[in-house]
Formats: sequence, C-alpha cells, structure tokens
Amino acid sequence: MAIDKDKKKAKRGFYEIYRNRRQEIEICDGIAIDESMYDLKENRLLTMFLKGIMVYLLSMGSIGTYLSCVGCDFNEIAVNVVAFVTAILCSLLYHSYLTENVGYLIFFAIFAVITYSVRTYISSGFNSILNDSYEEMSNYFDSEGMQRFAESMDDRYTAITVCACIICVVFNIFINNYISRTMRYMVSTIIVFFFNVVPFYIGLEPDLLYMIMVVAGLIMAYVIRAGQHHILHRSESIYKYHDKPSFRRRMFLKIKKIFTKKEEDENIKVLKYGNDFKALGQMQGVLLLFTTVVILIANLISPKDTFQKRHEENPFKQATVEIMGNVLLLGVGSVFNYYENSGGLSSGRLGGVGTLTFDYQTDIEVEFTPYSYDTLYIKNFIGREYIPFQNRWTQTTDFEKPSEQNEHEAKALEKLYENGGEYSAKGKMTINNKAGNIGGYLPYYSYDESTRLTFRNPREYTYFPKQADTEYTIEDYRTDSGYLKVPDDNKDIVAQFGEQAGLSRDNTAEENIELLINYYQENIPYTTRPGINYRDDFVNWFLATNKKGYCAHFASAATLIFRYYGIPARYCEGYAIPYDDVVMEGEIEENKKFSDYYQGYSELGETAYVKVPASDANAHAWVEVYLEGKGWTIAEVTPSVTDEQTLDDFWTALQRARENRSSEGNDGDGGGFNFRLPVKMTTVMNVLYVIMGIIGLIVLFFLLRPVARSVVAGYIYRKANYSDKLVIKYNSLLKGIKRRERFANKEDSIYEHINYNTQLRYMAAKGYINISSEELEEYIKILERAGFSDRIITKEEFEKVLEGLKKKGKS
Amino acid sequence: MKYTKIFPGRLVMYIILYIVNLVFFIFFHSYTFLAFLIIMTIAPPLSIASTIYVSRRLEFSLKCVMQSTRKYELSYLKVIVNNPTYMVSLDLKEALICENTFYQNKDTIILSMPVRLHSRYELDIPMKLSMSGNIRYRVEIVRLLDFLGFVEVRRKIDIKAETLVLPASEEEYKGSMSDISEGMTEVEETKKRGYDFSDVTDVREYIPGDKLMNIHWKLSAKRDVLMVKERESMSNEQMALFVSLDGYKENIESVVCLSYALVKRLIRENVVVRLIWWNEDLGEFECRRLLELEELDEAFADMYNVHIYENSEDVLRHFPGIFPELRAFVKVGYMEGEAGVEIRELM
Repeated sequence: MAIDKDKKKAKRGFYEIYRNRRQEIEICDGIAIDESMYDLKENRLLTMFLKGIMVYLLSMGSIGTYLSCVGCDFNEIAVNVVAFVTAILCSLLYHSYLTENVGYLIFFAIFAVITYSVRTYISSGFNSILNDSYEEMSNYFDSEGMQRFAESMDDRYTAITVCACIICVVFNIFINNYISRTMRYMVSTIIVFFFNVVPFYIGLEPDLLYMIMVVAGLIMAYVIRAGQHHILHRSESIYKYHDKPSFRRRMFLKIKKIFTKKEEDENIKVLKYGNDFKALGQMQGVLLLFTTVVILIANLISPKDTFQKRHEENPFKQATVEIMGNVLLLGVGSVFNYYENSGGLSSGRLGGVGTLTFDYQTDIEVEFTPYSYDTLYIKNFIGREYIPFQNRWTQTTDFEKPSEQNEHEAKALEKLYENGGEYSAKGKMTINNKAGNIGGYLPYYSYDESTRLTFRNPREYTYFPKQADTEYTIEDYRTDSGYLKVPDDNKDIVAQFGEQAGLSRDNTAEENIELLINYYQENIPYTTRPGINYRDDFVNWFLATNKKGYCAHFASAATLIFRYYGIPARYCEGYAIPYDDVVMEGEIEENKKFSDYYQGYSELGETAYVKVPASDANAHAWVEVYLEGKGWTIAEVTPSVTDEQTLDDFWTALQRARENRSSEGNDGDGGGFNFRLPVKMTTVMNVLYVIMGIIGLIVLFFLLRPVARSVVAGYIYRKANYSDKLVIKYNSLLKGIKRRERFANKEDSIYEHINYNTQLRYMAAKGYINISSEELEEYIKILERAGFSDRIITKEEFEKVLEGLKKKGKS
Repeated sequence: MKYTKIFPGRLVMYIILYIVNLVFFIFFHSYTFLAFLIIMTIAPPLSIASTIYVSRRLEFSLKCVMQSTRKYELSYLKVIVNNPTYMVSLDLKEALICENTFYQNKDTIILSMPVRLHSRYELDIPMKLSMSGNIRYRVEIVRLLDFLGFVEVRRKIDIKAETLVLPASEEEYKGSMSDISEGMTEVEETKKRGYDFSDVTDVREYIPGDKLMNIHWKLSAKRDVLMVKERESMSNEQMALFVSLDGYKENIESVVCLSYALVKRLIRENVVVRLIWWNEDLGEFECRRLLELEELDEAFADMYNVHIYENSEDVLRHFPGIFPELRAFVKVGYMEGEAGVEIRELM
C-alpha cells in the first residue's frame, strides 16, 4: 500500500484550503503515522446516496403522512419516484465544493423553470389539498359554512400529484441541508411534524407505509448522529486526527476537576474515521427492518385504524378544541383578534368568531327596581352606518349626546309622567362597570348623557320606562336619512330576502317588522356556532349562504332590511337582562327602599331594589326602529328558543329562585349560552405572552452579548496596567492576522508561530507591520517583559510599541 | 479508557425526548406517536444488550506487515476487527499503545473504526518510525458504542505486534578508517602475544610449513600422524566496538546509527567486529561477534532489547576485568556535541 509521493501531491486539489492539516501524526518520539493516512478516501458517492435515502424517507414520509391523513388522492408511485430521485440528487450535491455551489444553482434554475411551467397544477393541487384539509377540520370542529379555495383544474388527481411532487422537492432541499452534512435530527423532526400536527390533532392517522418511513427516517437520524460519525467534511479522507478536546469535553473536565480535585489529561490523540458507507448502509437497513417489524407487530396487536375510536380524547385536548378550531380555521390572527368578551360586546365589529364563548364574569352591575316582565336593555353602542366587507358598524361622532340617543322618547315619557299619565313611571338606575367595555351605558329611556363609564365608577341614571301599555307621542322630531342608508353591496341580497320574508313597501312599518320577526323565528335558527366567513360580507353571507347565526347577525341584517323598506333603523348593542336573570341572579339591597328609586306604574307591583350582574352571556344586539310619533323603539328580532311559561310574580319567582339556586343551571335560552370553556382565553394569552417574552429575552441575549462583551472588555482594558494593555492590544492584532490567514497553508502561516519572538518576526517578514530590525528586537523584549515579567512596562514603552504595531506594511 | 463510559448528557436528552413524545402521545392520541413511544421504550435496553453481546464476540488482531524495517521507511500496521455477529456499530474505539522499548517511549492513540455487520474490517496504518529500536504495538482495551450513544462498553483484550526498526541502510560511515585502524593494530599485537581469535573449521594432515600451534596434538596421538587444525579464514583484523548507550535519546540515536554504519563498513572490509554493549538489566556486557552483514541486524535487534542507562564511564570501569584480552577498543559515543568514535586503550 505504498503511496507514491507524486501521486500524493496530485491528489491534493481544490480541497487544499479546507482539509485537515496534512502532516504526520506523532504518537510519541520516533513513532508517527505517516501523512499518507489521509490518502485513504471514503466513497463519497455511496455515502451521499445513503444519506439521500434518509432524506427521501423523511420528506416523502412527511408529505405522504399528511396527504394520506386528509385523504387526498394522488399518484403515489410518481410522487415517490420524484421524491427519491430528487432526494438523491440533493444529497449528491454535497459531494464536493464545486457540485454544491454550482450544482445548487443549476438545480434551482431547473426547479424554477419546472415550477413555473406547472404553476397552474401546483396552485390547483395546493388548493385541493387545503380544501380536503379544511373539510376534515370542519368535520372535526363541527364548524360549517367553510369557504373553499378555487380549484382551477378539474383533474384533482393530477393536480395534487404535481403539487405533492413540488412540495417533496422543496422538503428535500430543506431536509437535505440538515441531514447530509450534520444529521440534525431535531430540526428535521420539526420540519417533518410542523404541519403534520394538524391531522394528528384532528385524530387522523396516516397510512402505515408513510408512518414507517417517517419513524424510520427519524430513528436513523438519531442513531447515526449518536454514532458520532455523521459529519460530512470537505476533505474526502476517511480519517481525521485531533488531539484537542472539544469545548464540551473541556468544560466537563473542568467541572470534574472541581469535584474530584484530580487533573486529567485533556489532550487525547484520536484518529477518527469520518464516514463509512458500508456501516452506514447496514445500520440504515437494520433500523428500517427494526422499525418495520415493531410497527407491524404493534398494528397486529392494536390496529391503527381503530385506535382513535377505542380511546377517548383527553381533557387537555378537549380544552383546546375551541381555540385550535379558531386558529386552524381562522388563522393565528384570530388569537389576537379574539374579542375581549369572547362573544360579548364587540362595539359594532362583526364576525371574527366562529363560535361564541363566554367567560360568565360580571361585566356590569345594574342596580334598579324591577318593574316589568320584559327584558331590561342597557344600551352601549348605536350603529349608524354599516361598512360592508369590513363587517362593522360605525357610530356618529357625537353619539354620547342625548340627542343621538333616546332624548326625545325620554322627554316624552317624562312629560307623560309629570302629567300623571297612565302607565307612566320614573326610576333611578345605577350602572357600575366592573369589567365591560369602557363606554356609555344607558337604560331605556333616559336623556342623561351617555358618558364613558370607567371601571368601578358607578353612575346613576334617571329613566322613564316604557312598559307594554304605556302610550305616548313624540312630536316635531324627525330622524335623519342616514338611518335609511343601505350599502349598495347589500341591496340585492337584502331585497331578495325581504321578498322571501313577505315584506313589502306597501305594508306598514309595524307589519313589516312583525313579518321579519316571524320569518326569522320560523326559518333562521339561532346558533352560537355559525361558522366562519372568509370572503363574503357578513350580512350577505348570513342572509344568502349560512342562514343561521346569533343576535349580531339577526340585528345587522334586520337593520338593513328595515331600512330598505323605508323604516329608519339602527343597530344597537348592549346588555339584555331577562326577567329570569333578575330574579335568579339579583341581590336585594335591603337598606334601599323601592319608593326612593321608582315612582309610578310597575307591572310587577312593588318589588325591591336589586343589584343584578350582567355578564357577556347577557351581551346582546338588537334593532331600534323609528316609528312615527313613537320615536326610536326596540325591535327584538333575534329568535327566542324559550318555551312559553307562566311567569310568577316577582316575590314568588324570587323565592323559587332562592330555593333552586344550588341546583343545576338551566339549559339556557337563546341557544348555547351555557357553553363554558374551562380554559379562559386570558390564560392562553398570558401563556403566549410568557412564551413570547422568553423568546424575546433569548433573542435579546444573543444580540446584546457581543455588546456586553465589548463593554466588559473595555472596562478591563481601562483598569489594566500598561503591560496588560499592551498584551491585549497585541492579541487583538494577532487575532486579525489569524483571521486573514485562516485559509492559508498552515505550514507557512502565523499559526506555526507561537511566541512573541517568532510571531513578530513573521509579521515583519510578511509585511503586516513595518518596523526596522532594531525596533523589532526592542519590541520583542518589551512584549516579553509585558507578557511574562512581573515588572510592568512604562507608558513610553507601551506607546512606542503600540505606535510601531500600528504602522502597517504593504501586504 | 479505563472504564465503561456512560454519556449522561445523551441519556438526559433521550429522556427529555421521551417525555416530549409521551406528552404528544397523551395529547394527540396518535398512532404515530405511539409507534415512536414503543420504539423509544424498547430501544435502550435492546441497544445496550446488543452492544454487550457484540463486544464480547468481536475478534481483534494486530499485525506488522514487516518484522523489521529501516528508519524513515513506511512500515504498515494492520489492525483487524472481525465481527461474526449480525449487528452493526458505528463506533469502535481501540486504544493503540505504541512503545519503543529501547528508548522507553510510549504513548496511546485512540483509533476509531466501524464494526460492519458479519464482516471483517482491516485498517492499514502507515507508520513512520524515525528512531531505531524495538517497536511494540499493543491494544489492551476496546470500547464499543451502542446505537443510541448512551454507553461505550469496555472490553479487555491483549493483542500485540512488534517490529524492529534498524538504522537506515543508506547511512554510511564517512569517517577516516585510519583513526580506527589504530585500534585494529592494537588488536593484531595482542594476537601476536598468542591470543588467537580464529575458529577451527577442519582437521588435516600436517604439511611442512604449518604452524606448530595448529597441530591437533590429541588427534595426532590417536592417529599416530601429525594432524593440523584448519582454521576459518578469518581476517587478520578484528575490532572490539563498544556502543555507549547512555545519555539523551537523540544522542543515543545518533550513536546507534553511527555504530551501525561503522560496523557495516568494517564488515565490508572483512574486519571481524566484536560488538559490545552494556545490559543495564542484567548488569553485564553483551557481546556479539559479527562476520557478515546478516549478523549485524540480529545483533542490533538484541541490542535494542536493553534499556538505555545514565553513564557509560561507570560501566567502562568494568571493561578491563571482563575483557582482559583486549588492549584497546573503539568506543562509539556522544562526545563534544555529536556522535563520534574514540579509541580507548586498556592497560
């Protein structure tokens, strides 16, 4: 096996710069391993081929897992072949420096051309995959009304196949980067699983073949990395030599020394092989066989297909279903755009939630004297203009003024009361904002200013209730035409719906209102889980496509429908506290007399002064319609699901409520109000904020570390004496030269010189510094004194040497 | 490499990965994660057990391709690992101890190699030996890494190989032989005093003119005819050459090389050389008579079995007592900063 020296020289090629120092490996005096040891070359081609197989297993495994989970039909053989071939090609690109750099460019160019030429297939195929995925997701989350992405190709099979091929190629490029060179299994795991989490979450399982591929691929990556012979070096020599321990080993020895007080020899000579394709291939074969056998046996014992059905979902996952549903179906933005009250007041913003969820925390507290079986409405928002596709109502700028609220109605009722009119009354109500939106809260009917109610700053309002039999008239008041405006984007759908509902411009306002309410009640179900709307306008989607929803849907659509038929209408939001809630949840304020807070007619008779909490479950949207002579009147358009029942008088109902207070809550009216999420949205947000904070700190640490280092170094320099200062400055110069020569032939570089004497001579010879020979000798002496002697050099010596070292030579 | 090594960091990492996988399995209840879990559960004991099994079945050997070599010439050491099992390991570490017994240099280098499934792995290491002596290669401990990288299972073995490194053949003694011949002349004179250093090769009848001292009196009495011993045609010149093996390794090396070159030249010039060196372990001089070049390498091989010592002058005090027949000898030693030759007279 004698190697001709000339041949040795011929083999040194382009890798000269990157290979190990090619010199004898001295074991002890007189015994060394000849440098021809480095001429033993590994079979790079076969090694890369084997690593390419791993890349194929991971990329095709992950794509196949996803596609088989969501049930996409595609040509598996074609995709496997493409994945395999491109995986091998990508891996072979790392064969040499040349192939890596030039090869990748060519590869990308070809890939770009192919991708461009089949872009229609890719786009259609991708949309097909997404549609299949969303279909599975909406089945799982029981969320209907999903939008589908446009599939331009009729041939789904081919489109998905082409798309899958392209995705496989992309994955091959990514995974190859981490597997072929450094076998980073953690990053590969993240790449493989980051999107496969979705089908796993919704309980889907892949085909056994792809499961085996993924599992085998990851196990191989782990084992090969653990085997410590996975790094792809630039040099093709099988063997590499090192005699310095790694950083980790040095740290370990230092720590060990602290505990054992024993010094261990750090420097161990190691002649280590790089890659052996036979052992690698055999290991891959053994692991593949092992994985296949284990999974097949497991499948025999506990079949995969029935595994999910045999096990209940765990409560932790169930707790995340709602949030995940929104994230997966609406995107991550839904986490941040989640309304604070999660189904409570939205200040005119519509949509954004596929499912209403309530936290049942008290938003406001209302203190008043119950006077009627009717629902108590507390108004917070009046929507004047509807913006289609932005799906929101806007208020007038001076909405706080009584004139924009119900001033005329309140004054008319007040006049009735003062005149001693039948069924008139006057009351005082205190509203306390505990955790609701900061805004105005007004009872019906009050002409107090709807000023912003801040937290725990209760305010008393005077109100004049309008009860069922109260008759009053408003004169000399006309509303403006803004409350008749229907956006052009909504007109057609609104007209169509109104016609279906039987509305007509020939009917009176009251008739049309009643027709719509009845039509809603009979044809449009109430639900707290209406689903999500991607593209359509909120109202159009509700009226034409979805045909189910909650109060905001009904109220918004009704407002536009009424306007279309010439009835001025406005969209309102606030809290609606039904009679049942008053008696169930109300607490009597014993020290407050009914008569101090209510005068006049009360349908319920003399009741008591009660404090009633209202949560986001009481948040509601309704319509106010303007009727001639009556002014703005509440039109409750949202269908009710309560059965008719006999209403007890206040005290009987209160008594029964107290007796039943420990029993289970009712099943709810209005549909779904009792739905309760164990995990609060705020908890999830807090966890997210903490995680983001930690990530931010880590990023900051890495950004600030160099800054901190230079600050500390500067401090040390300032405190140092002249000897140390000179050494610091000299080391800095040396570091710069080493950086410049890091690719140079190590036999003739600064690295060969390890003391001041030879280093300075080298620097002067190479022209890094420009000093005379007398100065050189003097500088050497000063530096040696600075570095090794206890005697500190003088300031003049320091400045002299520093000045001399700064004089740059030609090179 | 004294003990079986455990990698706690990897163990901890594996446990963390296991826990993460377990959490994912509990959360997702996915069959894929179950598969991972099963494999991750059975892999560690399987890995360690199979590694212990393989490490016990592996067969090792060391061979020097050439029994002897010259300085600076490449000499190949073959390290062989035979795996009769059907398991693979990516990392086998052998602690190769390389020792020059003559200079008592020793150090260890760790060789790592793969263990292929049911096959033999041979590694030819090109050794460059730049100091003469007896080079011994030993492997006493090997370590096999398990699949998952948790442990390196240790096994004691005892395999050896040796090779002899002789001074380079092209080295020639360039000094003046006349300096040395002074020593040789002294030897001749001692011969004149009756000391005969020849060997008997045959017996024949007396021919007038034969030396009386060659008559085989015993045989002649028996046969009643004068018989004469036929002596080996030895050179008329002989040399006692003492190699001084004291001092620093580099110095001794140059002395050994000089001795070799000198002896080689002497033999070529038909001088019988008596090569003498001090054996520190036995406390005596060793001597080899060299007539031919082939004997030279053997003699040096024997010389390399001794150890170097501190001071040859202490040793040389015994010289006259051990070799009373010698009036002078040539000492090859390190003097005045280089290896040199010195004629020593003995009274």
